[in-house]
Amino acid sequence: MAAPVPIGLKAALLDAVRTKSGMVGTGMLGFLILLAILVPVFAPYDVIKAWGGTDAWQDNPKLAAPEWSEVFSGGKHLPRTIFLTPAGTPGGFLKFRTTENVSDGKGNWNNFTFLGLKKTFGFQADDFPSEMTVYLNTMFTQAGNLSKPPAISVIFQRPDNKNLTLLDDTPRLSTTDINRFPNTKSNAYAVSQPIKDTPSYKILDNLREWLIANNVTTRAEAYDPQFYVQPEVLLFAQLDRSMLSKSTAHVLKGDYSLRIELVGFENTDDANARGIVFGTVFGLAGTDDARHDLLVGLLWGAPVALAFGTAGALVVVLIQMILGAISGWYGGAVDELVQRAADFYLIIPTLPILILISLLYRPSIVAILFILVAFGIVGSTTKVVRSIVLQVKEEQFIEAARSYGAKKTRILFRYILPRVMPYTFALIALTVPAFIFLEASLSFLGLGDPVLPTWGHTLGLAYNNGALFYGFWWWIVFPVVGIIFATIAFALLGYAFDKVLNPRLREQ
Amino acid sequence: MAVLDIRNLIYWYRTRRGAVHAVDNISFKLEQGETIAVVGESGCGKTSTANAILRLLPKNVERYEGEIWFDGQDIMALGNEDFRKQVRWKGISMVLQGALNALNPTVRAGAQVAEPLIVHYDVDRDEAMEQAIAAMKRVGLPQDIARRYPHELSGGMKQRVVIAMALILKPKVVILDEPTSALDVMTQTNIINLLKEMKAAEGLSYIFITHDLGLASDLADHVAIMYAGEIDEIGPADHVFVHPKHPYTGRLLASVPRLRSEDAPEFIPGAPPDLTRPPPGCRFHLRCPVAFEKCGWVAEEFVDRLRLLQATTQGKEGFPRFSEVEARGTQMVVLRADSDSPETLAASFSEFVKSGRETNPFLKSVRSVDAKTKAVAVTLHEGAPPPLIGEEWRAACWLVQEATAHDTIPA
Amino acid sequence: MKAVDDVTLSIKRGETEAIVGESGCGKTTLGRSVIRLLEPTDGQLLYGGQDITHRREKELIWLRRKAQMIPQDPYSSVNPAFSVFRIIEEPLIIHGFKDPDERREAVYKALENVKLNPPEFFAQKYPHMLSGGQRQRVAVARAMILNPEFILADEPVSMLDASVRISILKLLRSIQGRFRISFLYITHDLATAKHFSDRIGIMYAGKLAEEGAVGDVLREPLHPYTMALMKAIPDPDPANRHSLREALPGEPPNLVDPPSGCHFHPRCPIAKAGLCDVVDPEFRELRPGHWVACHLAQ
Repeated sequence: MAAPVPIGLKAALLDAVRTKSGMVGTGMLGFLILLAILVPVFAPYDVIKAWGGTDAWQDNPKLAAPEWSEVFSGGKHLPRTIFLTPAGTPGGFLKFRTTENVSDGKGNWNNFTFLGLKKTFGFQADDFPSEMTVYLNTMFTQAGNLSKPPAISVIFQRPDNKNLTLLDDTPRLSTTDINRFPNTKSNAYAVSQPIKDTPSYKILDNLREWLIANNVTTRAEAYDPQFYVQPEVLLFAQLDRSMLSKSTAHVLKGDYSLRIELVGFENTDDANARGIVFGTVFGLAGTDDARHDLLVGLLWGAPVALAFGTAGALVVVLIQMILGAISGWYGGAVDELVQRAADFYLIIPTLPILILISLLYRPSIVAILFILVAFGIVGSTTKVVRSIVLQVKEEQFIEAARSYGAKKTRILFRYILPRVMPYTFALIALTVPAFIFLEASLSFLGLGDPVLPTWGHTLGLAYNNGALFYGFWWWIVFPVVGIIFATIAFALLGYAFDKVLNPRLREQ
Repeated sequence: MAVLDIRNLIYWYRTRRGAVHAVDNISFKLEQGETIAVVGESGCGKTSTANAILRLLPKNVERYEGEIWFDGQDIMALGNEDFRKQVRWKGISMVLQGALNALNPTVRAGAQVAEPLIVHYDVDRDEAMEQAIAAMKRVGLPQDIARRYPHELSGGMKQRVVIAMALILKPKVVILDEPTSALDVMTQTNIINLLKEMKAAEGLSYIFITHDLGLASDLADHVAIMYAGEIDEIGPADHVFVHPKHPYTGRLLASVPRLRSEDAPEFIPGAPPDLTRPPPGCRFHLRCPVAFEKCGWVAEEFVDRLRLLQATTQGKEGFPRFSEVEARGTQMVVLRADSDSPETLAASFSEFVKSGRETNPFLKSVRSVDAKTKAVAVTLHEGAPPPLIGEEWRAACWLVQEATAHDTIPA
Repeated sequence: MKAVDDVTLSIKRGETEAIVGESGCGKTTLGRSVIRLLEPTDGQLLYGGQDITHRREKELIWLRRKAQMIPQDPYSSVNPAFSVFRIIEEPLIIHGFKDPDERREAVYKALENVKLNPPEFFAQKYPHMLSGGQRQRVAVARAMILNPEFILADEPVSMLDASVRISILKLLRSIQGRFRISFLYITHDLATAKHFSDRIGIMYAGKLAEEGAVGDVLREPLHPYTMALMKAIPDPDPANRHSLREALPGEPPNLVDPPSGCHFHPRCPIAKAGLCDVVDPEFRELRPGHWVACHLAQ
């Protein structure tokens, strides 16, 4: 004997949640809601505001896989990012600085500054780092035409003592800085990929010379245009010909040091350095090509999707429900009008129109929501609710209500709508995924909110950067899992409702 | 020899609230060419009996046991596949309640009648159609009906199609589950006449399940009265309809408004019990006007009744003034009073029991009323379920004595 | 479609008029029209002398208070989303009874009147917690709450068990006696009509075939359809099984295209060719207070 169809929203809710799919759906939704509440606490909205810029993310490795993916690397220990922190911080560069006044014999005294920075770090991973960057801050006198930039050497010391000088340089200045004193200039020296104004060709040449000097390659080969120098491999590989290709090179494990020597021409000159040896794995969800921590984007996707999906579905379904109920209950011309409007709205190609609007105006997520609601005033829910109302209308208590003089509006709002509410709830639950998908589709096409890192947005970037082709699976898998998870949570809830309200779907 | 012999059939199914004792140990025989009517109120287990015989069971079966002897074998012992092949439809078929509304609207009537033939004997379509048309003729449908769709047929015709479907495999036993409940009076009469004619002409045996005693009397040679999953009375129609032994049968007959008698119909107070928790003792005792000590009263029922009586006869003269009443175990009820001493309360309660016995049969279950130090203990008689006694005409009621069971059959 | 075709009927105060007929004979449409849930195409409806035939809904508020209905299906006759209290209270709210205490008292009284005792216990229940009979009692209480003069009972018990059926009909009968209410009892069951009404009208294919006091009609039926109907209904009697029951062949006609002349003539055992299939019989008072529409009735 099947239990009776529950009456009222509360009973339907309770019954739905008690079904298997209802329990799982509620659990999943609960998790999402919890996430939505906790995310802003752990990753405040400021982080998201900085999503578009690069500054907040530049210390992260680029396109790094999640750390836990090491499990699948066949026992290899993959390099984590190593920070070589500036002098003055715990574990940072060691700094030696002396000043000396030296006479040139003509009565002029030159004030020299000798400065050394050194940081030793162990490298024990089984794979090469992805990049290495050194940031150097130098402070020197700059007055009028009298420019006295210091001389800088960056020396890389390897465990096998085959050390090399990465760079001999004098920091250049930009014109806007000319009249400032004392002048501070930061130069970033990216050893592999350029980040900023990096004289990386100098580094590459130094590497070539180093290879030649150690008889790894001939001069002709080294300066052949075909010769590909991969600093992040060469610096950390065992010194032999195998190091020329990443696939054959062997990691040289041990203690490395980065040494920076500076000779300045004023005794006020100073410098500090900071370095990053970027790993190939990062965090729980990895990073994308703009070094974003994908976990933050992923987590922020939950509240955005949840809010967008539920707000959209709620407003649209409720409007459609009321119009559908009015249509079914009053019948006649009103019915005709609403139904034809619904037919019209159903054939409007919403997505193409939305794409058009997005191309022209780049609307924010709230604006997109408004547009979607405007395109969903009537629709399939209107038709579903109308058919339910036509059924309820035939129930005899409605006729009895007419016989004791209940007005039509009273019957609609007091008798009929409460009966429709549980169905509406099911419809809302089933509509939320549609909205989440729609937002994801727009963002995927690059037409969504330009600021928020929604799941679709992330997915779109991944697709455009060929993540699938290059095997950056984490960039795709996590947003996809997010979308599917949220969709399934609501779909299960909707299904549970349907099962409770639709006796034909009920098991014995 | 009986064509169908059902012995101790039990069929319970699970629900959220517990196991429903839909069919609780029933036995009856059906002779060749005879009809037994199974009569009872809705929810008494009569349709479940039909489903249990044909093994049309849901997934949530709790208990399904007993013996059903058909054609010299216990069909309960057959495997599901054998049962389907040998018994269902071929040996025992059924006209389901509301089946006329369950005809497939997209299939012509003839093809629907022929379907069981194709399923069971794998005959070719033409031969099946031929036989279907023959079967439809037997139930009084002209040949052209075979080519029509269900929506083109009237209710009476549809019901004939359903009956033709049930008869196409020439079963020995046909179970008729409320075969006319959705039909108008005149159509109903026509269908019953048809069933009567077929029974006489072809020696069919029917199990006729109905809530309508008038209809039952139109077809039944034997009657089984079901109440709360059990058979209360079973016997030849000539006896059961005329001199019912069981109080329930009597009340049921008295509740039928008759066209040919001026006797005003009387209803049976109360409602049938919840079959997830059937009452102990005789299952009818809660509604029975002649229930007495042995019928199986328990403390919980007693307390419910007393509270109801207290609520409806509030403050009336002679009603004992107790403030609290509660059940202790199955056979003891404890009463407490605010103002009166236990002795006074015991005395007034005893008096009340004595004077109220006839109007409120539950008071008959009181064995003793004892005043204790703080309360009054009312001890109830122990009861037991009455056995179904008698030979050909049996009834399950403590008022029907073994010795008188035979005497009361009129010559 | 002529669902109800030229029916003339008057119901006195405190009387029960039963309308008996097969499904599709127009009895339900007749009932709906009488309390103006439907607007008749033609004819006249007089309530207490007032013409209500074509009045607009706004002008019928007084009627909505005086005439009530009890629906058929216990599973949909009361609003399943309301508590019993709310169901019965609703008509009072609609008719402007402002005082909640007064309303509560009235609801409890009505529950007592329909024997749902104790009222406090039943008032808080929801319909799904009640049995079919109890639900119909709630429907009766709702119909009673405005102290109506007239109640349309449309097959109020046809979906209930035999015993419950009798208890509800007895309840209606006792209420009628106490409050002098007129009932229009629409049913397909001639036997209950016999025991629970004063007058009886037999309807066939949209028309009244016969109408009169219950005793007169059933003792001496004048219309062949009434006679056939009476023969078709069995009382519990084991002798029934030995013979076939007399029954009319065929089915009631389609009301979109009814037969010419007397609607009953194609099935009538005594129909006279040239008369019954041509001339529509007049509904005439053959005996005092006993009306019939048949050419051949004498």
